[in-house]
Amino acid sequence: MKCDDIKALYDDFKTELLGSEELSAVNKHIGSCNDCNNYYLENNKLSKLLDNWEEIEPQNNYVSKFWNKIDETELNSNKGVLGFFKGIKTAFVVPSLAVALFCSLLIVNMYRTSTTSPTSDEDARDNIFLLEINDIISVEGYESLKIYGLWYDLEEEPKEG
Amino acid sequence: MESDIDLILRVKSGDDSAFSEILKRYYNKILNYVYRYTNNRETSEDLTQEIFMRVHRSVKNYRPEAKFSTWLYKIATNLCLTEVATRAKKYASSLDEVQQNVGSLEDEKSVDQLHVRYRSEIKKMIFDAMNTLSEKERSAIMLCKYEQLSYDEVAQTLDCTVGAVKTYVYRGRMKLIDKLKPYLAEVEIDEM
Ligand SMILES: [Zn+2]
Repeated sequence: MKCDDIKALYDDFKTELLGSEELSAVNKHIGSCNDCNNYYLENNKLSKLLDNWEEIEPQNNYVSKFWNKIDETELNSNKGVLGFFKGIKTAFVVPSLAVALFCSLLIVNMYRTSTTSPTSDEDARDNIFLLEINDIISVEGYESLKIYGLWYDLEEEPKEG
Repeated sequence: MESDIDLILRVKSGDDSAFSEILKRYYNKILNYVYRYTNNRETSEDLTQEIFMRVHRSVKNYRPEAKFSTWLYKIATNLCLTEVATRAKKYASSLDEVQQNVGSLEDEKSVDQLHVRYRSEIKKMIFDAMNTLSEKERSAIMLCKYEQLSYDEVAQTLDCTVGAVKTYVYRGRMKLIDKLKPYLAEVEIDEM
């Protein structure tokens, strides 16, 4: 095995996860290679040094403290929801009603406009006039009026004469 | 002893006593894990409470395919790294904490004061050396060394491959050896 392979096995060596063959290969290598021997030695020292970082003990009441916090959070979130609706009631109820009334009037008006006859008396008179022209116009007259664009139904060609 | 998964299933069905059992099982571990990121007892207590509140809130999302402890460490790591990043400046001057610890321990007459000072100094040096590592290197070393998680569990916690974990640990250790050289010279090794 190469030096890099031996170094890569350090953790497995430390945690005794190496198989007997690998273990003897590592032991043989670090016995004869200064660089790898030094690597294993320094890592062992580091591991021992890091053990100096001792643990701390939790406060005695950590469980009850936790449940108190949960209760507080739930209480605050309930307050939040109630407060939201309360705010809506006082600050938005009048403008909301005004907007709703305006919208309904608008909708009713639009409905009425769409269902009533689109033609006024003037439009009706124009229609009758155009139909009369259509009935009396000659082919020549029709040809001469063509420059103004079509104004009759294409299915209904003006009568000859 | 009831398994973690059984406890979580009870929590999911609304049994708060099962969550208290989870707290008793993991609070101390997580507190110390957090402590190694902050080096501040009070902050660690607050953060640990916050971590368990998050766990409690999101326990419905936990799926038993992942080991509960791995899921827990994942939440803890994310929160610690976020907190450490936002409060980096505050923690950088955490010498106060060391002084505070010395003070409280020195009150105990039986403790050798010099020894306590030396240990506090070393603790501060380790903390500072850890701060020079990248987030992944630091977390990988903490999880392997102090939490004794397997490479596979660390990989799940840090969302990376086992190969990447090995690299983080290797690089991290090399940096620590470099930073802590003066202290390593004083460490005596009994056997190889
Ligand atoms: Zn070698």
